[in-house]
Formats: sequence, structure tokens, C-alpha cells
Amino acid sequence: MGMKTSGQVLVLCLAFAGISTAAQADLGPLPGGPPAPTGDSIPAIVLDKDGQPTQVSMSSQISADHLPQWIATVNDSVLPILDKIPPSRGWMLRTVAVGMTVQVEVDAGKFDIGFLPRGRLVYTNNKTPTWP
Amino acid sequence: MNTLLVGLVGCLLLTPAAHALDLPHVPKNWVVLPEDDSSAHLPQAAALSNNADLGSAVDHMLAYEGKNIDRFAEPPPSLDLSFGKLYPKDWTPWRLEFYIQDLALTASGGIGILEMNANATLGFAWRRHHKYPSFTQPAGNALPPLPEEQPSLPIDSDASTAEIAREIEPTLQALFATGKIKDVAEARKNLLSSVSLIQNVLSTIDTEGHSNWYVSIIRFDLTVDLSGKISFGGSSLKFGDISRIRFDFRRIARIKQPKPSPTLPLPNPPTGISKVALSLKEFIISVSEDLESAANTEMPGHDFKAYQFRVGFGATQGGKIGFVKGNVTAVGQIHFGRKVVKPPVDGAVASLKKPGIFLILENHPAPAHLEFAAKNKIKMPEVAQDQVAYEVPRDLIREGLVNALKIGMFFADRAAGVSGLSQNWKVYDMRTQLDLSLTGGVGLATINVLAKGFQSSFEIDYFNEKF
Repeated sequence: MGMKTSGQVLVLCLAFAGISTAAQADLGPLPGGPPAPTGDSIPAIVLDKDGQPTQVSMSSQISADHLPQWIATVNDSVLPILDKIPPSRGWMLRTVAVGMTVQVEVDAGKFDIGFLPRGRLVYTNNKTPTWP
Repeated sequence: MNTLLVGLVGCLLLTPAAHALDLPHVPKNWVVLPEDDSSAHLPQAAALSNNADLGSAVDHMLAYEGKNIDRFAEPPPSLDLSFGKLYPKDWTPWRLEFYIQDLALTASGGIGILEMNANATLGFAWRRHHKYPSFTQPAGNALPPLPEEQPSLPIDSDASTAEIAREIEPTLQALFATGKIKDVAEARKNLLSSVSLIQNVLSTIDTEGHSNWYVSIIRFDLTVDLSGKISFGGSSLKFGDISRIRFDFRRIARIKQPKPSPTLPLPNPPTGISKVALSLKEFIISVSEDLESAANTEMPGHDFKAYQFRVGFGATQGGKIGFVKGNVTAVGQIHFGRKVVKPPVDGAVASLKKPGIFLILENHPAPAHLEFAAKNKIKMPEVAQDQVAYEVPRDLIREGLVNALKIGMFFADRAAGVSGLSQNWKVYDMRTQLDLSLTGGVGLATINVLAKGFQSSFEIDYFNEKF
């Protein structure tokens, strides 16, 4: 099955305003850490070309290679901005949820897939945070 | 909400599900409700449908993600106190605290990592369990600790009419600024009356102590029309409606202070709302009692424990409250919190198994559902043009709650089993979405429902006591 990627990860910032920036990621191997899990496929729920939810088997290798880097890129983009937000009188931003989305186009086979959400990151500045 | 575009190159290799039957599925009776069990419209049952195979598949998905997150080289948080004396006591530097892994289910029970824009059937909150290097806030840079959790709209059972009027005033001003409400005075009176009435209902619920499950949050959606009339519900606005107002009432530890004398008379509630409020009180007490009964069947020895239960509720045209099913227009949601550190309510368990009925509300029901109800002699006391209320005995709902807790615990146990595989992260919290059957049974909510933005009937949260 052929596939091309448009090369974007779209990140949605929830419960948060005022962020608009862009950054480039270095896709080289991460220094240190355990090796990436390899070999297995992962079941996933996606939309097929008719817009119907479908269960597929997803090769996990590329995701395994790059997920930590995607998180690092989001981290590098979001944290400096959060650190610059001053607490205003009476209100303070405490929790931000960020959804990562991978844009993929599959040009053959049954599936024509656009944006694929892939995990959510929750940032907080609270000692006792809760999952929003 | 803004978007943040991060340029990256990423791709996933996908294999069409020509061998879909080899992919993991949950047992059919965990996902297909009896009224929807028409095998002619369902894919063939999956090959991997026993719990051992399902457990292995879930373990694999969780372990895979846990190992991946572990490889993220997390920088220590930065300590920036450049804003001076504005930090509350519970403040820490911004940090990544949770990674949420979402799993979804197809209509036939196929399970997998959610890779589309929809709510998840199962959410696993991975949380960093190693500690950041400690840091010390310089003396004098912190505000005194907050006296209480600050809700978005601080109205509680002790609030006076004057306090309620003050709190809802910004909401009213925003409504009036649209210029579309013809009778501003009427809208103000009705909204104050509605909120006051809700507050009065909640104050009576405060005194009920039959269960370890208490109302922690209750959410009401109110709709305002052109004439300033207020009605409950509002997930689908009709012609002539102006706006939906959402109120979250939270249980907070309020510091007792001298209550100011009410300066405004409490107007009479709008017609019909009193009946809804009384029915809501009865509904809340019944659900909390049945949750207590169901939770007492939990077996010991699990790392995770159910601690929060959310139910969507709606109202019939006659003003009776019931569980929502499918696409019903919800009046709101009730979050039941559990006093997890306290033992069960001794001596009261048997008496909690009270007889009675619950209503299940469904909008625009499928003909098959009506046929199923008729065939199984399920009473339908209210059948309106676009909504049906089914009558279900409380004992069947209690059985459904027991099964709901067990299904969720199956997945929570898998999360507990893989938590040791990641060096820095463990699953701290898990959420599961379930739909209610006309029989009182439950099934895991599928992507077909959640992708349309509908609410599930139940949401149960489990937290990891061994975290």
C-alpha cells in the first residue's frame, strides 16, 4: 500500500487562549533511553474513505520511533509560552490539555485518512492536579 | 481555543482490515445492547472474543504506549517567579503531568487505539510517578492558601438570594448584550428564580446520608428564549431560543461566614420547574443508594477503585427525571463522588435495595427499540412525538451498575498489570463510557455514538490506589 505524508502534526490547545506558534522538529534519534518497541502491530480505530469508523491494524514502528519526539516538540513549544502567562487577579490558568494529531494520506487501498489524533498531553501548574 | 501548528514529519503504516476478525474484540454482550442485537445488521462475531485474548490485546496496547512515553526525555520544570507575589500556595512550575491514551470500540466490538476525532470509550491517564527535583519557593513569594476550591460559579447550598443574584449578574449582562432578549426584567427574574430553585433542591440533598456516593458536581443546562423564558435542557436549541447557559454546582468546603440578609425577594419559580426539581431530588437519592449497593459487590484485591460516576439526566415533558440514552436532550449531568477512604455504610446495604422504577429517556427511538419494548412488556408511561420514556425496575438498574463496574474493572486491572513496565509513568486514572439498555443492562459506548458528540449514559472513573 502506498502512502505519502504531508508532514504535519496538528496540536489542539484546549481550555487555553493566546497560543499561536510554529516549530520545526529534529527527527533524528533521541539520545539515551530504552530502545523503541519494535515488530508488533497495534489495533486502531480510524475512519475509512466513506467516513465510517473501522478497525485496522497499524504498524507501530514509525510511531514508536517518533512519539517521544512528537511529545518533546509539543513540550518545547508549549512550556515556554505557559511560563510567560502572568496570573491575573482572581483568575489563573491551571491546566492545559493538548491533543496531538498526525496528518497522514494513504493513496491506495481502502483507507483515505486525514487527521489522526494521537494522544493528549495535560500540563498543569497545580501541586494536586486532576485530569480535566 | 486556538490551534498550535507544529511542523513535523510523521507517518503511520496502516493495514486494511481484510483480516479484521483476527483483530481483538470485546465480548459481544459487552457492547451490543439487547434492543440492538440484530445479527443481520452486525458483522460476524470476532475470533478473538474471549477475555484472555482481549486482556492480552489490551495489555499490548497499554504496554506499547507506556514504553514509548518512557523514551520521552523530559526536561525538568523551570522555576520562573518573575511575576512576584501572585502565586498561590499550591502553585508549581508548569509541567507535563498526564499523557492520555484513548481506546475506542466499533459497533461490533472491535477495540483499538482511537485515531479519529471522537470521544473515547476508554481513557487511560498515564502520570509521571517519579518526582521532579525539589524546588523551594522564596519566602514571601506566595499568597496565603486558598480557603476553598474555587468553582466557576460559586453558588452553594448556603448562598443567599443576594449572593446568587450577584453571581449570575455577569451571565445576565452577557445575555443582554446580545440585544435579542425583549423582556430583560423577565429574563432576570426567571433566571434568578431557576438558579435559586436549583440551589434549594441541592440544599435538601446535602442532608441525605444514605450512601458513600455524594453529588460532587451537578450541571444544569438552561435555555433562554426571546421573551426571557427559561427552560431546562438545551443541547439542541430551537427557533426562538437565544442562548444556552450552563451552570456547574460544585460541592465545596465553604468557610462559614455571617450570611448577609437577602436583599431581593425570591420570585415564584417558573411553571413546571418545581416538579422537575422534586423529581430530580428523588432521582439523585435513588441513584446514590443504588450506587452504594452496587459498589458493595466489588471484590477486594484490585489496585484500581471506582471513585467517580457521571450520569446524564433528562426530563420528560411531564417533568419527570430519567437517565438519558443515546441522543436525548440532556438537562444536565450529575457527578457522584465516592468517599473512598470511608468504609461502606454498615447496616444500610440491605435496605438500600429498594423497589421502584427509573425512567430511561430516548429521543427519536428506532422502531426496533419500540418493538423490543413492546415485546418485552417494558412500560412506556410517556410517549411524545420525539421522546419516549421507558420504565425500568430499580433492581435491574442495580444489576446494570454492578456489571458496569465489573466491565470497567476488567480494563483497570489490565492497566494495573502493565504499570510496572514503564520506568517513569504509570496509569493513574481510567475512565470508561457506557450506554444504558432498555433492560437496565449496560454496554460499552461505541465510536458510532461517541463520534456524533452524544453523551453516554454513564461514565465511571477509577483511580490507582497503588500509584
